[in-house]
Amino acid sequence: MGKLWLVAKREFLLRVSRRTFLVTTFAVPLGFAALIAVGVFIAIKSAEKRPVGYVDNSGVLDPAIVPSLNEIDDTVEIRVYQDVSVAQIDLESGDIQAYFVLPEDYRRSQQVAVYYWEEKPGDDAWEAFNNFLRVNLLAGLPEDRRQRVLEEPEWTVRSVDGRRQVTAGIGILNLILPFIASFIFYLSVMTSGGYLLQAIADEKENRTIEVMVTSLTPEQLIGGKTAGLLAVVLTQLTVWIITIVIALITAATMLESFPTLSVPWSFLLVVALYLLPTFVLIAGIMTAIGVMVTEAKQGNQIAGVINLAFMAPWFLSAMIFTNPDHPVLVILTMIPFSAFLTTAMRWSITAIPAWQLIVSWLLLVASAGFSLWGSARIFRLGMLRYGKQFSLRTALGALRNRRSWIKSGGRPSEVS
Amino acid sequence: MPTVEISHISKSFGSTRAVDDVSFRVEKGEIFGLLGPNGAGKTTTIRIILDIFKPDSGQVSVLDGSLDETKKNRIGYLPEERGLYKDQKLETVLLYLGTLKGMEMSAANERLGEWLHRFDLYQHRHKKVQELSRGMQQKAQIIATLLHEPDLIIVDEPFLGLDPVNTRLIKEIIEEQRFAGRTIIMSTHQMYQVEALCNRIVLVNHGRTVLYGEVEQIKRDFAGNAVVIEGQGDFSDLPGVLQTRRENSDWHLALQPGTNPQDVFRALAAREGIKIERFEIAEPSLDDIFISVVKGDDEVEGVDNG
Repeated sequence: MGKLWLVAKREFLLRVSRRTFLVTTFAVPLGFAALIAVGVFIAIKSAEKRPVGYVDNSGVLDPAIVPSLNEIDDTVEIRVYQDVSVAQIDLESGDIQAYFVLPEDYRRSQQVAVYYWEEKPGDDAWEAFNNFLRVNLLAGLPEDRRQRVLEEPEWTVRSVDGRRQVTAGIGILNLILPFIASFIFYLSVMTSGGYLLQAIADEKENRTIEVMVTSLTPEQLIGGKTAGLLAVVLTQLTVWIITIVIALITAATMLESFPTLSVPWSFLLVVALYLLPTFVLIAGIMTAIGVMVTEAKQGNQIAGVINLAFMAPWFLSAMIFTNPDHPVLVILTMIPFSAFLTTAMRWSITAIPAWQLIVSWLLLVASAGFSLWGSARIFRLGMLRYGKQFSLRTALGALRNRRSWIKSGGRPSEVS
Repeated sequence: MPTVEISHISKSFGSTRAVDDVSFRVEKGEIFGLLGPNGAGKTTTIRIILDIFKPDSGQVSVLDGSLDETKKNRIGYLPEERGLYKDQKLETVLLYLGTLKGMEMSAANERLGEWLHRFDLYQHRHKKVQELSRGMQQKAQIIATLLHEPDLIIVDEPFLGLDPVNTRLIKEIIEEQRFAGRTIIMSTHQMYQVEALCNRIVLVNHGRTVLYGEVEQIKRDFAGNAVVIEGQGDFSDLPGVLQTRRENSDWHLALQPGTNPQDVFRALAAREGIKIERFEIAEPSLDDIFISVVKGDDEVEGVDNG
């Protein structure tokens, strides 16, 4: 354990001190923060606060009946005009951003005409007039019924088996989260897998492997490197999550119209359960590739193809949103390579049956264990093959239970 | 109890027999030479001792039993394929390797300072390994081998790439380690270093043991297998002579095993244009013995195969 820890510590310190780590870790949240800031800036800038007017030919509206502050927080003033021509003059002079005209037969037609100059009235203007209209229309109703209509409906959708429910307000987050998760997954986990490949190939290229294996076991070496890089991933995730939380709190404070968000704990639990074994699976595969190639550059090309396998569910986003229980997606949920992303993306759209989750997670954990075990075997066989290609057949030979192969250490690069 | 005991080990890679029934013992506190031409099976034997490869057959005992993880901390290994983490600082790399051998960081730090001073590398300790010269990297690798004060030191070509000053320094250090009671297995092609340092040797060729014993005894056994001639004329291509080389005004002739110096003398007497001023049966150098045994063995192999 001590040596594993030493390897992990070195790997962690080595990676976090690299410029690429600093750029990836801090550029992403900075970019995200900049995006939020631009959004907030545009929203504030574009908020049109000039008054709106209305001409009531139907006699429905009473200027005295206005929404109370606790009912609706309107910031746009509503002006009453007796004559359209006066309202038109104010509109043309820019005193008001628009005016609404209720025809005489409004109660029957329920049509309102809106007049504006060049630009449509802003959201706040629409909202203010709508609220004013609603308050007036409900004026004759008993208080309790009036309140029910005035308050926004709060809906909750539950799955038939009662395992999942979606409440208004977190719908958008549900749709965005899988994409954020897959982006973070790609950027962090796959990049770290690439680091591991690089680290193993470096040991070979640097010819340090022979000294290393006479100091510790291959399991300690690979395990230590994997643990160190996992720590790198977790550090990166922590920085990003903190940034996202700060950005969301800031946005919610500055934007009144920002939707209410609640933490999707179930989603986060699924991500946490799938992330670790997925990382181990990637680590094992990248280690094996690192051992098999002659130089890191060659390994990176193969790793690109492996990355595609892990990111495949992304290309089926349309199917996930329209038909999340399609058999193809059920299969992708079961395949360890695509399990994490498919589950994360389906989670937001559908209630994944429990058996699928259990089977998929167990398969993922089993394949992660196999990947680590297999990579250690391939490592033992390929570590001393300096500058020599390691065929897939040889690798498969190492994975099969052929003790003599492992005992012989394969054919070395040089017999001297 | 010997520090290392190899009993009848064999190892094949596919159809190539790299090591074939090799046996030897390395006693505590001795410098043992593991010799042989390129491709003879030396590195494979070392890797078997270090449990990097498992032998197909035979027994290996290291530090009183089979090698385990704890014993790895008591071994220092300088492989023929040298390597350090090139893009890291020298001091960081050496401390890391020291702690991987079970050293406490504080002890490693203290001892490393002494070694760096001794190898004239102290002022370069904050440089990246790739910024150091090849010779400096070689010295750094030797520090990594010795930093944790191992009981068993295995060095494969320790003088490779070193200038005469550093070669002498390494030689001194190897001797120091022996005086400190440590066991050293040294594989090298530099026979004069073996002659100067080693108590005993094993010579392997084509994976087999062809010579094994004390250096002095081997030299005595091979006396008569070399002659020194002073004179004028062509002394090459004589029957029964494996190698002819000129040293100053003398000719050194390494004889095939079984060849009598008298036969060589007769052959010379029969040759035209030869003037002999001195003909002397020489105590052979280890170099001569090496050539004599290896070439003789190769010829036998050739006959066998032919």
